[in-house]
Order: sequence, then structure tokens, then C-alpha cells
Amino acid sequence: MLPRMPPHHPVLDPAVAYPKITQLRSVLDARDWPAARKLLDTAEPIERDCLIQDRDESAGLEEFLRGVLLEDPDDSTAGALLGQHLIHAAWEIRTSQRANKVSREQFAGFRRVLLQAEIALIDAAARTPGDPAIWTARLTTARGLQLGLSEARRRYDRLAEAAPHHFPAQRQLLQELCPKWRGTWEKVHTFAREAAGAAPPGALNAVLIPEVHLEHWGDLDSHSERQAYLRSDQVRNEVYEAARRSVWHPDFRRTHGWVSVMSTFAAVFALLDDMPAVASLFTALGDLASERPWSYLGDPATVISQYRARALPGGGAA
Amino acid sequence: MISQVEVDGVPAVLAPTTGPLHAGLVFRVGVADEPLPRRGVTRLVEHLALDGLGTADQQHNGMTGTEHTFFHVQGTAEEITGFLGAVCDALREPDSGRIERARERLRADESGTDPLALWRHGARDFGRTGYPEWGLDGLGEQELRDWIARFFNRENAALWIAGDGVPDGLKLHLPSGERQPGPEPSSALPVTPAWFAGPDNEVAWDTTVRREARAAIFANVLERQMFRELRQRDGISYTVRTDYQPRSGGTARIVAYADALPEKREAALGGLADVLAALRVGRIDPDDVATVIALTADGLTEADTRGGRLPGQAFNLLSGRAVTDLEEAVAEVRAVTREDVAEVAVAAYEAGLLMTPAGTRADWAGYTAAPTHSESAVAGRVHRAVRNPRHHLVSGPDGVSHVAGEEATTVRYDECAVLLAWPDGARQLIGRDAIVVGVEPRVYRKADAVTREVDARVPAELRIAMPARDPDRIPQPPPKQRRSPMEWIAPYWNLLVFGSAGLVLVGVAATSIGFVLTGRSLFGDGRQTDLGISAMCLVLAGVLNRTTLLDLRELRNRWVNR
Repeated sequence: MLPRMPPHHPVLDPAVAYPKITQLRSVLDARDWPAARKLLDTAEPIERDCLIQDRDESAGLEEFLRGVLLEDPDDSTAGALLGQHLIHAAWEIRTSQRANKVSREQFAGFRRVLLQAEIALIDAAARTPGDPAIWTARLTTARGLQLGLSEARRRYDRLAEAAPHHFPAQRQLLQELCPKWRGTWEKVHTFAREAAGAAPPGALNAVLIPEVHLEHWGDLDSHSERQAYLRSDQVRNEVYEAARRSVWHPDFRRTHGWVSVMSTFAAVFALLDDMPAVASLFTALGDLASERPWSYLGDPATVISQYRARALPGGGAA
Repeated sequence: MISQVEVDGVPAVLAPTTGPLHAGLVFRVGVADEPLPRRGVTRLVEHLALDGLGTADQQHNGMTGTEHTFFHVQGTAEEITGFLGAVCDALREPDSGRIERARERLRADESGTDPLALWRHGARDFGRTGYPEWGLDGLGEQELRDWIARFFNRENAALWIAGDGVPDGLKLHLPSGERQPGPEPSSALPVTPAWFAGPDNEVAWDTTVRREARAAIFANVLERQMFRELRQRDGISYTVRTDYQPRSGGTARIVAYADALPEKREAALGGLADVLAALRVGRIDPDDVATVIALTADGLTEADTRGGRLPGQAFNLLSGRAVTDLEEAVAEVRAVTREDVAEVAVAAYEAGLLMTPAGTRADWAGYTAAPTHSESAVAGRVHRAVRNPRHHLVSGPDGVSHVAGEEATTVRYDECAVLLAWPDGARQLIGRDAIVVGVEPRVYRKADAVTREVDARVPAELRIAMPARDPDRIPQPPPKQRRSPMEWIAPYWNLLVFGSAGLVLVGVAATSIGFVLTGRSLFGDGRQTDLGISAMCLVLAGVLNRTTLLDLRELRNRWVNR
């Protein structure tokens, strides 16, 4: 008889999957700017952008970054970090509730702080237009400040000139292109297909396809509509093709972002009831997982544990 | 080489030309000098002088600008002498019989208005180009003669001649008068950089800087950058241009304009804001600066051979500025560095005014909204809007205000630039800061009293009689709410029934409590029953009371919005 397995606890903290997050936090805590720059300058562009986007709530960080910029206004890394720090602060005020549940004061505070972020980012973009992290942040501010679809597209095009397959920015534009912001399903599906198709084989970008399908799925009203949508031949085929281009491709690398990419595929396969596919991804992930997109289905840890129990023999401990 | 001569007391600049002979007579007067009730008077004078001269074979024209008005002719020495002589004759002895025809022609050929100028300067000096030619209809012969005497005189004129010398027999018989200094640009913007929302599918920007060669270079560098970003790169705009406009007072205005495809309006705004930000932080392509300098220097040299620099030099004579030779001008242009352009960019950015496509804003890019209302309302009598509790007018001895919610627009009588008066009693006052207050007789209660007060207090010379409005376009109060008889009677009925029922219940409760307090029992069942029944009565009365209050509120609203 097999020994009884302990219950599985998925590890949702990205800092566990990506140790550089902790390193960056600690050098920023120590106000060691040269060390922070070294860490970020040597990271791959996507990794660098994701590290910059990490929510660092340590008090006084804003003043510190403004000080760095005062000494060297052309330091776009400091500009991007300051922008993302203020963006997090703004969303903290707004909360992630639906718009009708956000109070007028919350919206006013959200807008006020987001404006500070945008002003800092305008300056950074003016000085260093080739830094993709600046434009990723400016896609977020464009969405929050409701600057319009054409302006978001312009910002993405600016970024794509310097970094054609910049995954973090594609995720931001994808949100803007969704109907819940200002886009249409047609636009967002087209964009996801184009971005996924253009990226090199094995890259993370193909996850945009299941991501859009999940968004679309979540937007449908009834359970039967949702089931019918996801299980249609076209959607299924697209998702499998996307998996073959990324997580199942021999060139797929565990670069920054891989956990959420695999988690997204796992969640869609779970909804498609393809348990062998879910199992293979869970095995590859080990204990690691990302909150999104599991949070769409309920409490992430609970949902993941349930699916692991179904997909993996022996209760799901990896 | 430019030489300076004098012709009949009029200072002149003269230079040889490789092309045909041409000459121009310029006066220091323009739209910026026209009070709004006289708006259009300069162009009317210009047309009055030119309309009688015929067009046979001669190449001549006139031009009314912001600060200068000129008459220009190209042809033989005799044609030049004939034309300029005839212009002076027409100005000295205007033919009043032709005023009506000139007026008709001007109405058919309306000059465009400049919203940026209006928002930057208000309804005064350089902002007057933002308004229509409201004065045309009311201008009579005497007003024209007065205007001519003040501005179209010998001391306020200058001449340029592109040719070997002053043509034989050229006579400029102009009356004597005084040199009129150029207007000082005022500001209606408490804070810059500022923004306001303009027409649908356009984005524009203007600024004021010191008048110097490097500012002209900056304007062209800006155009190149805008062309790359807005047209070549993103295909957002088709037309992209900038303009450098030197002013006689030593400043210059730079205007930038881009149209936008309807679905790319926000991107046009974002693109222009980013271009301006990039220049401000000094991201200026040295190749752009070098190219613009080379093109400008070539342009100056080429213009010089045709006498194309002479009009500007004649303008300089009028503002007391030195006449500059080609070599000086080219040397000044060639001395401009990238750092110079960057310095201008900072000053230009700080003083900027951005016109965003309708429905968009620019606070996100660090621009402050240009004022759309006044600091306060005047003290006076309140005239509520009919069936619209958010709006009212205030009419007082110092002026009138329109109040909408928390915001007031005010025109004080001592700051009124113009009063537009319609036959139906409507009035529109425009303050010198360009703030507008409208008096609509049908929209506000007893507004005819406001119309009378405004008419009595605004000087007659500021008043412009407007043509009658199409009755369909006269603003009306919001329509009365239509109620069925049942809806109409409901609150009265409710008050009668629930109100009196509530009173009865309160009465029962009070009596019952009174009985308890005096040791008796109203219902004969002891204290507890009495208190219980009183409590029930009070709760019921409370419920009824709430509906009664709602009905009372409804009736009050009906009264207020009657």
C-alpha cells in the first residue's frame, strides 16, 4: 500500500519561481541602486520588464526612485520602476472590483496617482523611447486613464519597433482590446493570433490564444454557452496548436513568465476536460502555480488542488 | 543689398531683383487692433481700396493680417505707380457708394477664425482673430473714415520696392497721422502649459517665444518630427504643419497643426504630446537641425534674389526694428546650434497651449485645463431657469452671471468686450477674458428684466445687432413633464388619505399614552396592551409619514419647476 500523501499546497508566490524578484526587493530595500541596475541590466528584456512590474510596496521607494532620476534623468530603468510603483499604488486605491463597485473617491484617487505615473513615464519615454518596459507601463496607464484604443495601439507600435515580441506588453494590449475595456472580441482574437503567430517557436507568446479564449469564455452568460464556446472545434484546435507552439515545443524555455503560461494552458485543458494534458503540465510545474487564471474559477489554491487530485494519480503531490 | 529711401514721407526699403518688378505698401494695422464690435473693419477698408481698381492684366492683391495690412503689386514701373497711387487715392477719398458691395464680397469670402488665439488671449488684441467679422453689418461711412484716419496714414505706412530704384512718378498721397504701436499680447491663461478641447478631428498647439532665428529653426524641426511620428510612422495624420509668426513687439508665435483620421484622434493627441515632450527633454536629431538650417539659409538666399525678404524688412521699419541684410540673416541662422533649439523647446513647451480633439483631454500629459468659467458670480437678483433647477442667471449692477451647479461664468460690465443682441430679446455678453454669458428670455424666469438691464448698462458702441433667429432654433426650457390625471392627483390623494390616517394614529397613540400616564386604561385591558397598541400606532404612523414626506417633496418640486 502506498503511504498516504500529504495534502498538496500549490506555491503561488512568483518570488519562489523567480528568485530574482527577492534579490531585487532586497537591493531596493537596501537602496543599492547600482546593484538594482546590475540585476535588471543583465536580465533578459521580458524578465527585466516582469521584475520591474513586481509589486514592491516598501515605503519610501517612490522618493528613492525620484532621487535616482534627479541625479540621472535619463535612467529609464528608474523611470519604469517609478511608473510601475505608482501604477500599483493607483490600483491599490481603485481595488480590482468592477467599476460599479468603486466609489467616486476611489476613482478620483486612482486617477490622481495614475496621472503621476503617466507624467513620470512621458518623461522617461521622451528620453529613452527604445525601452520596452516604459511602454508596457504606458499601456497600463493608457487603459486606466481611458486614453482610447488608438492611443494604446500607438504606444504598442512604439514598443514593437524596439521589441517586436514583447510578451508583457502584448498582455497589456490584450486587456485593452477586450470588450470590457474598449475593444471588441474580433480585435482581441485577431491581435492574439497575429502576436502568437509572429513569435518564434517555443516562445511564451502563444499563450495569448488561450488567454483570450478564457476571457471570452468568462464573459459568456450561461454555463451551456461557456461549454459550447470552449469545446467548439475552432477554439480547441487553436488552443492545442498554441500549446504545440509554446509549452509543448522543444524550444520552450523556463524563462520568466513560464509558470503563468503553463498554468494558463493547464486551466484551459482542465476546462476542456483533457486530464492527461493537465497532468503533464502539473508535473512540469511541480508545486509552482500562478494565481491567474485559476482565480477565474474560484480560490486558486483550492481549484488547483481539486484538479491535481483529478489529473494526477495518488492525490496530486508532485 | 537693401537700401532705405523715403517716398512722400513714407519710409521704404529697396533692393534689386532678378525677377519681375514688384512693390508693396504696408500699414501697421490688423485684426489685433479691431475692437470686436468693429471686427472686420480693416479687411473692409482693404477691399474698399482694391475693389475699384479692376483686375485687367495687373497682378495685385491685398492682405489683412493680425498686425499688418498690405497692398502688393507686380508689373511694369507704370503699373506699380498706377496701382499704389490709386490705392492711396481710394484711402484718402473712400467711395462711400462702394461700401455695400465691398461688404457683400466680404460676407461671401469669410475669413476663418483661430480658436487657439481666442483661448490664449481672450476677446482682446491677438485673441480677436478667434472671432467672426461681427462688425461688418454695422460699419458706416464715418466709422470707416475714422479707422482710415487712425491707421492708414503716412506715418503708419512703409513701402518696399523690388527693383533698381523708385519708379518715376510714384506718388503716395496719404494723409498725415501717427504711428500706431503694435498691440501687446495679453493672456487669458493663468497657468501654462494648458489645454482645451477643439473640433473633432484636429489637434493643434501654439506657444509664444522670443523672436529670434533659433525659434524659427525650432518650428521647422518640430514640423519634421511631427511629420515622421504622425504621418510616416503611424499614419495618424495626413496634414502636418507648423508656422513661425514673428510679431512686431519682439515675440513670436509658433503654431503646430495636425489633422487626424476619426478613429485615430486619441493617437494624434498622444503622438503630438510625445513629440513635444521629446523636444522638451532635448531629444533633438542633429541631422534635423542641420537640414533645417541649410534649407532656411537657402530659402533666404533664394528669396533675396526675388525681393522676397523685403516685406518683412518693411514690417521691421514700422516696428522700429533694424533692417537686416541677407548676410546677417543667413549668419544668424547658421549660428544656431542643437543646444539653442533645445533651449527654445523648453520655453516653448512651458508656454504651450494644446487644442485636443473634441471629447478628449490633456491633463494626463501634464497640461492644465484652460479656464471655462469665472472665479465667482456677481451679486444680484437671481433668475431661475424654467424647469431646470441646476441653472440660474444673476443680474446685478456690476454684471451678469450664469450659474450651472457649482460653476459660474461672469461678464462684468466694465470688462465686457461685446454685446450680441437678437430681436427676440436674447443677449450674449462676451468678457475680455472670452468668457460668455447668454441671456435667453424663454429659458429663465422674467429674463426680459435682465435683457433691459444689460441693454441699459452696456455702452451702445459695444452692441452688435444680430439677425433674427429661426424660431425653431430659439432655446426653450425643457418640456413639461406629461402626467396622466391619475399621476397628477396621486400625491394629493396620498396626502389626504395617508396623511390623515397618520394623524389619527398619532392621536390614538398619544391618547393611549396619556391614559397610561394618568393610571387609566384606554382599551380596558391594562397598561401593557395600551403601550403595545401605542407602539404599533407609532410604527404605522412612521411608515405613513415617509410616504407623506415623499409626496410633499414631489409637490414642492412641481412648484419649483412649474
